[in-house]
Amino acid sequence: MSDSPRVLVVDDQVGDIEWLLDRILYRGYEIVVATNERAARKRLDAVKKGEESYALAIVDVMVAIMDLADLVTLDEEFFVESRDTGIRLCRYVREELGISPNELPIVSLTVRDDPEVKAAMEELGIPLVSREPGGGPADLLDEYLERHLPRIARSSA
Amino acid sequence: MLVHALATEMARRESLSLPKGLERLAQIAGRLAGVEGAMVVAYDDDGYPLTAGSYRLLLGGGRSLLEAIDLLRQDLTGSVPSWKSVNGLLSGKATGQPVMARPVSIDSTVQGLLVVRIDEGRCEGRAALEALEALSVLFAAAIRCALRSEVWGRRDALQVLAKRELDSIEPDLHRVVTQLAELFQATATTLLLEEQGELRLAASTDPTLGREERVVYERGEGLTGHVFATGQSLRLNDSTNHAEVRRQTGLDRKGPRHPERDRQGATTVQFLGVPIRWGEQVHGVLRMSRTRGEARFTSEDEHTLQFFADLLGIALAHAWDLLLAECIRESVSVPMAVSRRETPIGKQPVPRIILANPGAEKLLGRSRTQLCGLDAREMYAPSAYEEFKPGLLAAFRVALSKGRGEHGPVLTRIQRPDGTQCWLEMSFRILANRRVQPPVFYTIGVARDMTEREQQAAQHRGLMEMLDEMGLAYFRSDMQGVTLESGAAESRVTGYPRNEMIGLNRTLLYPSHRDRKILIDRAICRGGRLVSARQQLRRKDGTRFWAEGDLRVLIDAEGNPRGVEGLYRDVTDRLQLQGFVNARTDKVLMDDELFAKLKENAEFHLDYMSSLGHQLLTPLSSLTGNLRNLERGHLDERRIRERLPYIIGQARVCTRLVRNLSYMDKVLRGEPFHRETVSMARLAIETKLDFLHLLKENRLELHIDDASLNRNLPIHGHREMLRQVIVNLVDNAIKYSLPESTITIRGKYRRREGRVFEITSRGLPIPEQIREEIFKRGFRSNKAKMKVPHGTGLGLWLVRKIVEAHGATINCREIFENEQRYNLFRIIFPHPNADASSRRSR
Repeated sequence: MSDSPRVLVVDDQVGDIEWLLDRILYRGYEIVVATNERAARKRLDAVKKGEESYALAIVDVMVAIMDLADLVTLDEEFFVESRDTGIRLCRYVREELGISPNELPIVSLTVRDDPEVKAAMEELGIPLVSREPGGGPADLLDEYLERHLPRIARSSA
Repeated sequence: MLVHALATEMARRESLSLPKGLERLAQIAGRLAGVEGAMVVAYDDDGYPLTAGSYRLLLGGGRSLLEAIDLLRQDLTGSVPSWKSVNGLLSGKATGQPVMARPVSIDSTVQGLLVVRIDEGRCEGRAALEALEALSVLFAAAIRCALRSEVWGRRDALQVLAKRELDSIEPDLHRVVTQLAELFQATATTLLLEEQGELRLAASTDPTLGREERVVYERGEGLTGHVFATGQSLRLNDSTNHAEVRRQTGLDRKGPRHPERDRQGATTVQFLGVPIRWGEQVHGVLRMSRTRGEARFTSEDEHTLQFFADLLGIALAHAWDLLLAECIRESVSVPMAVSRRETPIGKQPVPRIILANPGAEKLLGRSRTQLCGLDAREMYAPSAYEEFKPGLLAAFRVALSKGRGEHGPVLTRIQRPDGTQCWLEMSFRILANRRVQPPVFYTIGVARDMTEREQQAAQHRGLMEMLDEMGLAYFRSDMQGVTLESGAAESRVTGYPRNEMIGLNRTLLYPSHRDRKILIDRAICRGGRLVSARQQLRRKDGTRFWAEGDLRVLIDAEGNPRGVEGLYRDVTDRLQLQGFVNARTDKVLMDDELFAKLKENAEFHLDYMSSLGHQLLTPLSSLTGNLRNLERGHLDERRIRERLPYIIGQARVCTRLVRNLSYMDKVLRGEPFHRETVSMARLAIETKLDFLHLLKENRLELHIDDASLNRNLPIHGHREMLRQVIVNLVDNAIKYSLPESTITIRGKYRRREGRVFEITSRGLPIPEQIREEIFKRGFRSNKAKMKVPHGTGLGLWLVRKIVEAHGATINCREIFENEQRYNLFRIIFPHPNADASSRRSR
């Protein structure tokens, strides 16, 4: 399993995107899920250190800040805006960690058509794709999957 | 002895009439030895015989006593006062005995005569004459005493008369003249009073006077008119004596105009007239007369009668003032004019204005001088006077018999000289001056300017029209509820045509009689102040509507309720709208409140729809994605089997969300909904099945204590709404629970509170200060935002709405079990009867 190329999915409601996970699995990739920003950063730090590598990172624009277990330990007043966690993460990858698109391609997911988010992602050169599956047989997300995740024949398949 | 008798006589305390007093003196003289008979004659201040008293002695000779005495007087005038034989003047058969007479004087004033008959043949006769001679001064003094006594006695009698008769507002003038005639021994006594600048007959003892023609004297006309014009008394011994009349009055008198007569019908000749004065004014003349041969009116008579006339003047002026003052006092309003009904001889009576106050001047648009003398009928608008004339004439008839009459108030119009007209309310008081013949009528017209009231009426009409335009129903009713006034809007609202509305008993508008009574009682308690009310009313067709408005009880001058008036509008649609936008329906909101509510409602609907869209989008996206994967053959058979229940679950979620949309709308609008017995245990289990995947993903346990739920929580409610409650609470518990913790659902029964549904979870602590906040729409704690960025803040708000629609409550608290902290959401469904009884007691 560890030999298979992996995809990093940063989303706190993966139950809602099972269909996407299925498509990734179908292409022969393993999936690593980070359900919050803090967990995602750890994964990305590991990429920077060369400890981990991913064929693709799929990042939801709005993702939880941290686990509930961590959250309950914090002060009442502690607050971090969670509306643009995805943007923060992408900036972290590209600007702080300096991980290039070649090293780690990223596709961002959103439910809303928010021009600010779109502009921010464009600036970072990261495509913003709807979480909804497209209307036709192939959608935009499929294009990115096709581009970054060439199908690998799996022994188990 | 003689001296003693005279002194005793002078000191007598009881008053005798003058003739009686003189008779006693004659007795005293006559009882002297040698005197056969005696007579004592008293002279007046002018030296004329006034009256006499005699003892066994008669004078006459075909003449009246006073004429005979006057002959004696003339015979004795100029001679030295001494006894003189006056036999030639005696009446009756000659007795042969000499009659001697002599004047008696005191202070060189001749006070009277002493006449005696003596027996000449006896020596005592001569001696008697000498004795009487010596005592002549005492006789003169005794006569003066008798005269004074007479004067004072009459003055006393006059004062008594004045006090008795003149003290009343309307003295009986006929009785006054009758008594005066007795006191003055006058043949006739007549009272004439001023009316309209002339003297008119008021009362007379002579019944023939005024029988044939009206007794009226112009100023200066005749003797009476002379007294009236000069204000001076006049005393004439012989009014037929032109020389005497001319000397005293300067009048060239042809003859008496309205003569008085004695019982035999002879015209009286002696005249005494005194003016009736009050201040500078002469209000009338009091006159009396005697026939020829009777005692002359003395200056004393003149003074005494004037004394009484002055009292009469005061009394009459005072009485008239009182009458007028009383009428003015009774008047309620300022404008007032007095008119007098004047009847020129041979013409129709004319009511002429004689007095007008400034209020009347202003109202009638004429100055006082213009008003005085004006025919009162001329101030009315054409035909206006004729309208109330019959009523006024009836009041005149009452005044004629009772002294006063009243008419009005009547609504009439006056016309000013400039042609403008004005509405007035006129009240008439009629005073009849019945002291003069014929009586004179005074009409006091009291006006109230009704122009203002007319203007108010016009304003009232305008206001009513405006209220109708505004859809505000106005009504006024009596205390029993009979409608007296009603606006057009009320007919529109209630469905009763206007003609049915007036007179309609308003209890018919209420669903029950009690409803109106309660409302009116409230208004009575407020004592004339407005009472706001929202009340269901009944239209003519029996349908109900909600009316909101204000009413008040109308209070009369005595402070008693005399009616009810109010304004209301039909707010049924408005209340429905308020209910629709989820606002309160127990009162009509102000427009700005309603708009705020509408805005809030619209925003909420947007939020709600957006949230619902999001809730739908997620399962639908998932569904589409999964189906497309199937279509593409991306899933092997094992995976298909794994996926299918999940895909079906997603489809069911979508269906439920869409169906809930209509239920939720009802709940949010507070409309009634279908209820059935719902097992909360079953709903919880079904919910658990839907959430199995998520529970697994979040490594959570959901423990359902179905025994306790079954035992305690069959709820009479809406199945799908209650499912939504459990779904939202479980969804929340999953999102905010620590991994590997347990969520527990259980039921309880509490004797005092009712059935309890509880869900506990080990999740994000909810600080006490936000435990109520979390049920507010859109509220999200910071921690919740950090954990679930996609949340909407609608879940718990909706839960509370549904719970409340079921008559239940929900709250949140923190509990500790086995040293672990839990969040507890508790729904309490109160006992149905406990709820009813607590509502009753409220």
